[in-house]
Amino acid sequence: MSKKILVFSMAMLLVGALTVTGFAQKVISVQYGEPWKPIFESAIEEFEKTTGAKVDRMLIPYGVVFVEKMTLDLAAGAAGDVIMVDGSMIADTVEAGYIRELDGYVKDWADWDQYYPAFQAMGSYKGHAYGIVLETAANAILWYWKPNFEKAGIPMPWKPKDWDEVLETAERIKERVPGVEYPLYIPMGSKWGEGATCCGIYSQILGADTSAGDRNRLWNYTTEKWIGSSPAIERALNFYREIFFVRKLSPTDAMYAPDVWGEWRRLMREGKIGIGQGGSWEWAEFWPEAERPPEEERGELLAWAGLPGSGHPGTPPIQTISGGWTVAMNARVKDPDLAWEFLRILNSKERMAKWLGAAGKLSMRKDSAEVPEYAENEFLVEIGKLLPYSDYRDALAGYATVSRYVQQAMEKVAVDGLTAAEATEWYNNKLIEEFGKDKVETIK
Amino acid sequence: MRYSKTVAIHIPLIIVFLFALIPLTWLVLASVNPAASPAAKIPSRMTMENFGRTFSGRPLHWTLNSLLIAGSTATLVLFLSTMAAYPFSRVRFFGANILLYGLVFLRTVPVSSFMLPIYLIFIKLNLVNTYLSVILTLSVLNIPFALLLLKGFYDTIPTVFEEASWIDGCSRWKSIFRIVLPQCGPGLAVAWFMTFMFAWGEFLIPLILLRKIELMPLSVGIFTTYGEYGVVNYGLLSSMSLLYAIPPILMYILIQKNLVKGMVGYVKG
Amino acid sequence: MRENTKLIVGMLSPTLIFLIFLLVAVGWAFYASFTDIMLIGPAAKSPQVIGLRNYERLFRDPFFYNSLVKSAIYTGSVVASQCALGLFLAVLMHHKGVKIKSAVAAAVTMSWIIPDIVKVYTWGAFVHYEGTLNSILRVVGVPPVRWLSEKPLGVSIIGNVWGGTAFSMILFLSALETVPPQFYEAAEVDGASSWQKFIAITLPLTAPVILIDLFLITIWTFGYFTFVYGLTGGGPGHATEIAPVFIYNESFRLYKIGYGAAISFIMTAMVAMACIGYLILLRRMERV
Repeated sequence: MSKKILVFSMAMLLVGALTVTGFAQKVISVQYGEPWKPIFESAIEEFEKTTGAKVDRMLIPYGVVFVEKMTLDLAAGAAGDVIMVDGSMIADTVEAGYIRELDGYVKDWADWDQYYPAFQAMGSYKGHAYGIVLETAANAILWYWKPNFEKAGIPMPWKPKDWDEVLETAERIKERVPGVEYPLYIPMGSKWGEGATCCGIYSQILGADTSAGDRNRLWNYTTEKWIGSSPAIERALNFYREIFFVRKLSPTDAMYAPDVWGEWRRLMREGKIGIGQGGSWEWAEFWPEAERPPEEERGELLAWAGLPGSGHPGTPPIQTISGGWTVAMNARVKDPDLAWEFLRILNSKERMAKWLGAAGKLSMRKDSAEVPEYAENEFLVEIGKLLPYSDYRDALAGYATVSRYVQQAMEKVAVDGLTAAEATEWYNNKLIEEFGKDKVETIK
Repeated sequence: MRYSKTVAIHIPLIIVFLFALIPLTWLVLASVNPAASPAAKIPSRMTMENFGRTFSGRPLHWTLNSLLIAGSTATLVLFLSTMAAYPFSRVRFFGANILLYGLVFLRTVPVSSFMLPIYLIFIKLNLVNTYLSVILTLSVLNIPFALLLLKGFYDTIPTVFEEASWIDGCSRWKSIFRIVLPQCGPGLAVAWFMTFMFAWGEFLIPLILLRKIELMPLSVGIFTTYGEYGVVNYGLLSSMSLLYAIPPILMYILIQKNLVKGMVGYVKG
Repeated sequence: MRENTKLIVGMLSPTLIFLIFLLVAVGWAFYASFTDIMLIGPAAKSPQVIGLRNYERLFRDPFFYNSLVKSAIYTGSVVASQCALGLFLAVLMHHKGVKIKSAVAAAVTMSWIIPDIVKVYTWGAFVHYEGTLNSILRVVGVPPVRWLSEKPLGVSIIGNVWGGTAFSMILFLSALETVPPQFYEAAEVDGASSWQKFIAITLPLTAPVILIDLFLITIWTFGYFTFVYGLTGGGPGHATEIAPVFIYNESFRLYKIGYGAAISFIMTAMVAMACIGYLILLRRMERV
């Protein structure tokens, strides 16, 4: 009898020890922002079920400036094993030694080939993969509020062919619809931060000149220099000067509100904006979830047009830009195989496509079209047609700094009223101060 | 008092009264308005829904975190500076003034410039993601001001009683507890209250040192609600703000009588 | 003497141990101000000591001068207004028979003790284009103004006066309680007017307190980040980019924490100089 008890308790101890060690060894931490909660939660659930490992959730709540919190965590060495890095910051993050190369993993991952090359590149640096793109969008399209267009007598669907037409339409709204406070709203300035660059002026710079010889970029890929001064930069800045300073089509207070995103969405859904430049994701996000009208009703109020090029010779009829968040692995990860397993589960075909469809975000994978929840979303089909006109940020090491100076140059013309040439010169000098004379060039 | 003088005194006071209260009135109105916006309107319909959401789940939990953090910080600071202020007041020692004001000046260095080293220290101590890290940081930041206040308060208390007690064979420590501290009520109350207020309102430090949303104080929680779904929900925010403002207001009511007396510490500092 | 030493050591050391923590952190930042350390990029991995380069850069940076000017205007206006208004209120309330004293004191204090974030939020709504201020102005026939884009620094200053005057008011009420009432009674017998009493009695007796008030609120206002950052983020452009906001922007949005630290120390030195000025004045006054 006592022997039986002994054996039994030994067995229990053994089982206990196994479970304890099992749990103690297998834990990974995953750090993500609250807007991505649905897809991360579903992946965590599946990951815990299939691997038996535990996930330590490090949720960065809404309203917190995600990039700043994440960067500080990385700098202090306290970030999670799996983290999110904005596509534009991959290079700077790699250079800082914060994230781990994934070449060995993606090589054996069948899904990797399903990613369009441009999106593979967005998560890569110097030919090595570091981040897997989680979502994308057309970051700059022109939203317009239909009732305001009706009141102003502007025919719809509205398809502007160049910047002048955009400005003229906005002036017409300003004259005829007194309730509109912001006839033409475009993100601007340092409080908008990267939003002012990627949803704002970047598409204008790209659409201001022909793409030959990288004339419409911030970085020249042939000479490997930052472009400090070019007709494209000057034209784009002049467009902002016209909107904010010369024609007064947008007061600046909303650009510095405590929550610029919240304020912009509120102004739009209350009909206080005529035309607003923003991301394709706004189709859903202009409204809080509880108040969001069904798609047909939304279609009565809201429509969009592609953002035209400047109208100079050789510029495209439509221009937009795509960015996206990536998921990456912390360089300090203790169990990279387990972290990869999580990334694999997170980025599976079905989960990805269903989430993108529900969130109204564009896919970066070819196989999303095979999943009905994504393929049958009419809005995404329409927006998807913009992708051939889409371009990408020159997100090399130093981009974060460059982008900041672009935002400040916007303020120079929009708030201080400097001419576009003066602001471009200021920008050029800032880049020279930052990178040295031999890393900055001028395009005539 | 002459009539005209009474009027002359009351008019500016009434203007200031209105100036102080009008912005707060909006806060109260918006909290019961189902369609709240920045505009000042009497709501066409009253709702308690915002308060319902405020007094359930996360916000209430955040409030408890805030109480724990601010209460512990204030108590710890009070404990340390009550002791440390005594020698500054009673004993002449080399470098006393330099030390005291040096500490105050150290606090003029903006916190954002040494946030990263604070973070690194707590990682070394393995205390990241604990209330303790936040309480310690906030305490350190508040000690200089509490020290200044309490030192000034001790200065107002005559030394004769202490000296008499030493002659009676009372030890110095004993005399502090028996004679000095009982006279310091208002000063201690104000030092505690000022620290509590500071810690209650602090946002950046808990945001950086804590990483679990369950551990966050209400200051971070309100920010979270600010950007929830990227849309400003004025009604909910207003009701949460009111909840957030209640504890300091209650504390104020409790120590109201002592506040003016306790500030003597700064007056004599 | 031995007992004194024991007392000093025994009572001070717990606090000093705590403060080592602050010294280490500030010391680290001081060292960082001589390096090119950033939060991202190659300078995050291996920062280089660059001597005084950050400080040289600073004195060539127009945004630094801008933040100096903005900080001087902001801190100067806020401190002067809070101090003057606080003293004014305290003197009014100190009169006997003021019935609404506690109501006014409570209202003013209320806007002080509400947490910073609530202050930003409430004041932001008050000066919003659609907000209460414009509604009031409309009643008196003034067309609405976009305060946050047209008078950003002004509304930040007034907002801080709204949210901070209570401290000075309470401090001066406290100071006035220590003035023996006989002084005023004697002056009344001599037939002095209110103004004469203020100049002859109140002001000289409260002068040291005024200096202490100035000393404390200068330190607090100069370093007060949350209110302006929340209200305007330093904008439009750099119109309200006061020192703490500038430091934050350089350190966390441009990721240059070494440079940010250098700015911090220069700014701190400036505040410290102003405050030492107050202290020297105070010393002189106490000697007289």
